[in-house]
Amino acid sequence: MEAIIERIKKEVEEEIELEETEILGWKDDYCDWHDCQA
Amino acid sequence: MKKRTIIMMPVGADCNLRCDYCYHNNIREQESVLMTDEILEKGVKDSLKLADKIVYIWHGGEPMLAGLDFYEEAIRYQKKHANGRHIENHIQTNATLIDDDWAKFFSKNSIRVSTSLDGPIWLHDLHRKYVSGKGSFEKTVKGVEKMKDFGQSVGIIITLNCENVKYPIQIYEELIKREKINGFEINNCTELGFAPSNEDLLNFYKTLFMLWSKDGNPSIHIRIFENVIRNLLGKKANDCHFRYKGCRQFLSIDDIGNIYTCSRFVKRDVAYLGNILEKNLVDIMGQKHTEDIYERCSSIAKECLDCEWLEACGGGCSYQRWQAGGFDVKHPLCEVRKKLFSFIANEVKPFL
Repeated sequence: MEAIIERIKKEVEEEIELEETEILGWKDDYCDWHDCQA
Repeated sequence: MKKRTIIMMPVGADCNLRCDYCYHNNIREQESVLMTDEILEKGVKDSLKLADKIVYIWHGGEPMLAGLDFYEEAIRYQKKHANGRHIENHIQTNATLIDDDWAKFFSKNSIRVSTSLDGPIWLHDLHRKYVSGKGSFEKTVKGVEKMKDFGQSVGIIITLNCENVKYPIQIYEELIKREKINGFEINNCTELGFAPSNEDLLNFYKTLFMLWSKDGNPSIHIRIFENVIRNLLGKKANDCHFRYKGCRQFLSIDDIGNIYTCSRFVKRDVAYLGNILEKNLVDIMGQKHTEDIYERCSSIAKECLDCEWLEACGGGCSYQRWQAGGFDVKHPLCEVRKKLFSFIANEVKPFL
């Protein structure tokens, strides 16, 4: 189990890094569509 | 970056199979209709104005019935109207029609292929059959193999029904050990007469989790479990049916240009948003009627709002809630989900 959790943790960390560094203005992709429009 | 997922249904609910528990069985038309070139181009052009990243899921019925030429046109329209936007393509198919030409096309255009396998042949062929009654397992597996020949893995979805739910060990062995599949997603059948019992479902998930955990192979992905673990790590689930208001990222365009919140609602007025030939898609998405429908789909039972598992559960699939009596009722598998979340949390706690 430990190896699986480590892999998921790594994926989650990489997502956070991506959000912070590469996708400026990113909003959660499930956010309210109309809020996104604004 | 805004993301939007468009579920395109080029042949509506038409299919070369007649799976017993398909949620399209009672809405399938006698005559097959292929999405016209006008609807295809307008659907692509308009949808590309909705976000910075557009994910197209080609769905059905069986979307490959539209033919290779149709998809070549679709890709051409995407390139023509992309205007710098990021595009991703997926196809949800029964894989029975994949040959060298299709596999080459999918591979060349980076179209991710997903299919359904309900376990070993003796479980899969119980319900996933051709009109003639012949099982589809062999052709589906052949299609999966063909994609592998072209260097692409295929995403697998298992639909749990009242029969295969009793065989978690055999399903794990078949898919992971024999077919060398590196993971799968699981849907729960909710159609009357085919839905598994809550007790069987929970047993299935617990057994499967223990097999996965015991194997401990990090390259095996079982999405339902990973959704829960992601939540325990403070992240949102990957799948819409585990995300509160998960429907809002989606919309579906069917073969005659009708737009719904999701392909599951095709031909159901309750989630009908308009027709793409009558109005611009951006205008349709901006109208109050549309907002009201998305809001209704997102409305979950009041007691869910106070549930400790709301973040992990999201209230479940809106179609399944609607089918169970209304958008704002508890998901029919609420008790199973809660027990499963609690079970996984206990199992993984030492490793977090």
